[in-house]
Amino acid sequence: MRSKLMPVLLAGAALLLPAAPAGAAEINMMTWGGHYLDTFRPVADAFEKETGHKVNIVVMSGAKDGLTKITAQRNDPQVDVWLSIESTAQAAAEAGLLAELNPELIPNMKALPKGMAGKHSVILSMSPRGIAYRKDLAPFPIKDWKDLWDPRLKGKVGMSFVIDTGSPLVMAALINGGSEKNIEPGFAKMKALKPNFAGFFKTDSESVKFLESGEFAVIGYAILANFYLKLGPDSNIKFVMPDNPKFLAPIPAAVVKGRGAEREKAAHQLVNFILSPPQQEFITGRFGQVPANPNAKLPAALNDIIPSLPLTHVYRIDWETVNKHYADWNKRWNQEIQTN
Amino acid sequence: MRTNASAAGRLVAPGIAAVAVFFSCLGIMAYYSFLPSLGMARVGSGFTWANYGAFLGDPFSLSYLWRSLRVATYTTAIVLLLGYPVAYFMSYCRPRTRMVVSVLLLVQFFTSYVIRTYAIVLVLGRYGIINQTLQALGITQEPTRLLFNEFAVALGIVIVAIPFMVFPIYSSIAAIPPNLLTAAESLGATRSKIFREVILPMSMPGVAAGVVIVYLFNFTSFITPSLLGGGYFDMIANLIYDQAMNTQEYPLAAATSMIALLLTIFIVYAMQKLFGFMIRGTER
Repeated sequence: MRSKLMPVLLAGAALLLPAAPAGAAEINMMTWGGHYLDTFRPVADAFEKETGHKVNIVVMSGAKDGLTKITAQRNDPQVDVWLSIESTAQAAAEAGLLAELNPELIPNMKALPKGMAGKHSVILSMSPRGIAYRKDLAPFPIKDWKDLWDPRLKGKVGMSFVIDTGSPLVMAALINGGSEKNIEPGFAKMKALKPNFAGFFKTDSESVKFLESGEFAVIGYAILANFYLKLGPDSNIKFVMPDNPKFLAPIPAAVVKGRGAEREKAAHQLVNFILSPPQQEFITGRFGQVPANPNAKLPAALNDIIPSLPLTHVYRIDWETVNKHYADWNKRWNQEIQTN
Repeated sequence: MRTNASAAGRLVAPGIAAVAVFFSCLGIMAYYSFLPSLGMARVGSGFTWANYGAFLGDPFSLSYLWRSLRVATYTTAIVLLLGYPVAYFMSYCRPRTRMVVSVLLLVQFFTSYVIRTYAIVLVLGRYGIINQTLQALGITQEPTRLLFNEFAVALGIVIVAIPFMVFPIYSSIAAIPPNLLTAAESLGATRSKIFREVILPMSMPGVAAGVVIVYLFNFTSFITPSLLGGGYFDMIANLIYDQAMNTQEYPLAAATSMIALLLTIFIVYAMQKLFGFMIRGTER
């Protein structure tokens, strides 16, 4: 009896399940956790509603953690769409982990300004970098990168070399007559900043916690997205985007190689969906970022934080050069800068 | 008989599988340590000792190892000095008091490592309890730097490690038959002599277990130096993380891990020999 009844019950249960549309795929998108997860979950749901493709979100603790994961999965990839930062996307492309993007499957790419789409990744948004500080703990209103060297900030500045792949060093090089191709002026300038350092953080959340607790009065090279929701007229945290050079870190999306044609096509569709103006406005409005698609409106609150568009003096870091020297620079940073 | 054997096999199989996975991971790590590193997230093929040479030939990298050994040694000694009296007290106090002390230690033990460490930030921070008290008492005018140095890291390590020392020692002391102490007392031994000649030698197996566990725990500390060292006092686990997750030189990270692992095995072996010798000495 039991053996006859079971197939009938299973068939009935199958009828009750929502039918997946023909050709629907299940794909995995890897991004940061926390606020990113909260933001991309509704985007994934909207995409599923529109296309039938189910999107699972895989969390990485940082872009480099994401790179480690897709490297470890090289022989059996588990991620379809990967959001990261330019330096890690470049390293992944060089390591042969990313699929070449098919522009025909991402029609929204046509609207992007020149240089926003590459062979292996496309920029979704640009994340302002600058200085975050506590208005009640900083002795003067900070406006410029050079203010970080003010003796009044002695023992008050927190910095991270690792989060943005050495970007603060490039910043220091640029204001001291160098660049990533001539990094010595950066090291010289950073050595001069040593008296002002309070400590060094290694994660985004540490930067927020230590600024909130007052351990750091200033975050010397801050990611606006980490502080965006904490800003406002009543907040004691202020974010400034210093001029010359300005840093807008591109947030690229890439399709991971080796997941099969069906999933790869769905992954392209998801990237295209994220590049559509409504999704661009939703995402950048949550993070305080500049949309890559010029047809999307800039988040209104961002007008009070960053200079008005079009931004001038935006410096585009050459990540190929940085990645080539990064291990050496990191060691030198630990030896020469991150010491008492 | 055969049924018993197959039941035993089924029970043992998950354990064997877990051990096999563990040793497979170690094997893969050892294999990676001999591969050439081609830069960020790229690994070449072939065999090389270069990664071992890069670590062992670099005084700056070796300084992480010496620092970890030094900190692990003195923090283990401090934890032993603090933990032994607590374990002794727990063994001879009233059951109700013992329960309170045990609960306090267990709460500390089971609280998330990160939360415990952040709690120390709230105590030692610029606007933490100690600095506020010092300023309120007029001892200091401005917040004193108590965080982001060796002192903060050592304090964090000691606080976190205490339960690992207390419980093994407590188990050893609690297992000492009470009639031994009564016999020693009836033969005229003073309390200090009873402690020196009965309790201390008989608690040595617990001390040995506690010291080995705490030493290894302290040597491999990661979160505590990461949060309380503020980048100024990283230890060997932080260096390995930096090599693996930041600069993504996987073969170098694997070689550093293998060196730390071999050193750990040697330390455990040496400690076992030393404590074995001490315990045999007390039994004579």
